[in-house]
Amino acid sequence: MTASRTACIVGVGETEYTKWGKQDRTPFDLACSAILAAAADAGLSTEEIDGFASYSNDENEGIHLHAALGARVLRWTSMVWSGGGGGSCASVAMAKAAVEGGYAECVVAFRSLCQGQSRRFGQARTSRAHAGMIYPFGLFSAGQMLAMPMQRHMHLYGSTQQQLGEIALTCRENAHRNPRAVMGGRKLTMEEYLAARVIADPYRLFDCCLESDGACAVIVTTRERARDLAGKPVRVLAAAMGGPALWGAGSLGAMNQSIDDYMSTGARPVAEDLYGRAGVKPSDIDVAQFYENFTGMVLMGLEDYGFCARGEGGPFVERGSIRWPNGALPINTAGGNLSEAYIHGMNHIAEGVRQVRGTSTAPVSGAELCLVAGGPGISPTSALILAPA
Amino acid sequence: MTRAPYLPEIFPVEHMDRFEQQFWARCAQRRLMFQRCGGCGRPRNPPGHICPRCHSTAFDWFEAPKAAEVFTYTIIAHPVHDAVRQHVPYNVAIVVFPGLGDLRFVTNLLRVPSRGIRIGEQVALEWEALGNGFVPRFAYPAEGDA
Repeated sequence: MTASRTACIVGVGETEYTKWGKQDRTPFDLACSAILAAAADAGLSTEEIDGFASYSNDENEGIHLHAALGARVLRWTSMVWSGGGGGSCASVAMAKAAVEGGYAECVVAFRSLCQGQSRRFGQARTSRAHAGMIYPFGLFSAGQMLAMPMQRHMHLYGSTQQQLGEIALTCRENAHRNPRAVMGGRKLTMEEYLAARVIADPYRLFDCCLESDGACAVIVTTRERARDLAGKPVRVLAAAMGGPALWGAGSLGAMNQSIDDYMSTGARPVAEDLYGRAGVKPSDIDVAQFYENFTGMVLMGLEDYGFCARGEGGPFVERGSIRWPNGALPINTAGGNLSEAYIHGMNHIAEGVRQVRGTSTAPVSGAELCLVAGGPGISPTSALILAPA
Repeated sequence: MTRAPYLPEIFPVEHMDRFEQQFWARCAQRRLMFQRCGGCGRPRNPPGHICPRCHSTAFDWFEAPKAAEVFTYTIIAHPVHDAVRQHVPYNVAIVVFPGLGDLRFVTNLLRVPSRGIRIGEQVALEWEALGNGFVPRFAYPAEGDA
């Protein structure tokens, strides 16, 4: 690949984010709006979009978006296998692969969901991988399943409820600065966090992501094309997706990944690939966006991506490391899935772009490298490192 | 004396694959059995058609040890399925067995002491009659047993 084809994100678009069920428009309608907004941000016409990339559970097929938006030629469509937000960053990885490999010129990665119109991800569904071995025991949802590795983490390493609360409070504080955030302005104290009802021990109400309706899209093109566009380009320095050996459905069904990997997000091999491709190390990262389906997965993600040692995620957050603006690694600066909106992590990518552009509502001073981590606990999970173009 | 089962029913599963059906058919005879690879002897759960280590599709079913250790657990207080709406809070645990390596089994714990569940504790297989079958759950010792 020549340097002129280096993949850059040139536009970000979002619809209004709402609580689930509050959205009258269809997910397809919202997807179109988010893509149009991303194109406007980039300063390009949707006619130019020749690729569509999304990930499991998106209902909006690229071929129909392509037709609806009146784009000229279609050159690339891809859907990443995974579940929920595991493939969020992988959709951008596919867009990067497409433009750098010369398969397409301008690929949009997107997520649109209306949980009121399709399904609520936190409720039991009629089937899932290995349902026959877990449903009969009353184990139905991701929150219940991912509570169990956190319970063991607490047992072995002494991590605490307050440390999980620190993650929830950090996201809420950042949401107060973000006018798009569904939970902006809704105060949350540690006392309120601890007093909230239990969902699946150790997860309480505010450990769990929101349920939201909305759409978010980012447009990826070559550095050469980006030069002529109005939107400030952000380089996709590295992208990776994957999971450990034998993971399969991992903690979200089979539960029989290796015991060594059990208390993790499944991102250890992804992190190794990501840093290797970027040629950087965890201490070079200025700011990060961690997909929070549940707070415990952020705590383990901080370990898996090398910001602290295994078992040290609790003390790491307790000493203020993830707080904006002065922590060693401010995270989820728009509020994340816990307090901005649950758009399956595409909103984390949008916020990563804003950090590198310097347009976040919680800007990290001098931020150059932003790590974005996709949905944890599922394989593949995925991640990006974003950098100035 | 019969008492109510821990959870009210075996929850409907839209599609059970043939190996899961074989697992539950053995449970109906009160036999908790896991697959063991016919090629290399590796035990596995959930059941499946191929050994990830040696790729053999031959297997047999072997009887699980009666004693297990609590690997981890959760107490579910927010019901996400109509069938459990009247039954929260309830526990779900993962147990491990001596000599079976990484093999883990999802179950519920019975007769949990009032001070709560602790990871690493020993529990023993106990069958609960339910509908036309039996459900394998794991119990703390009855008072006076220990």
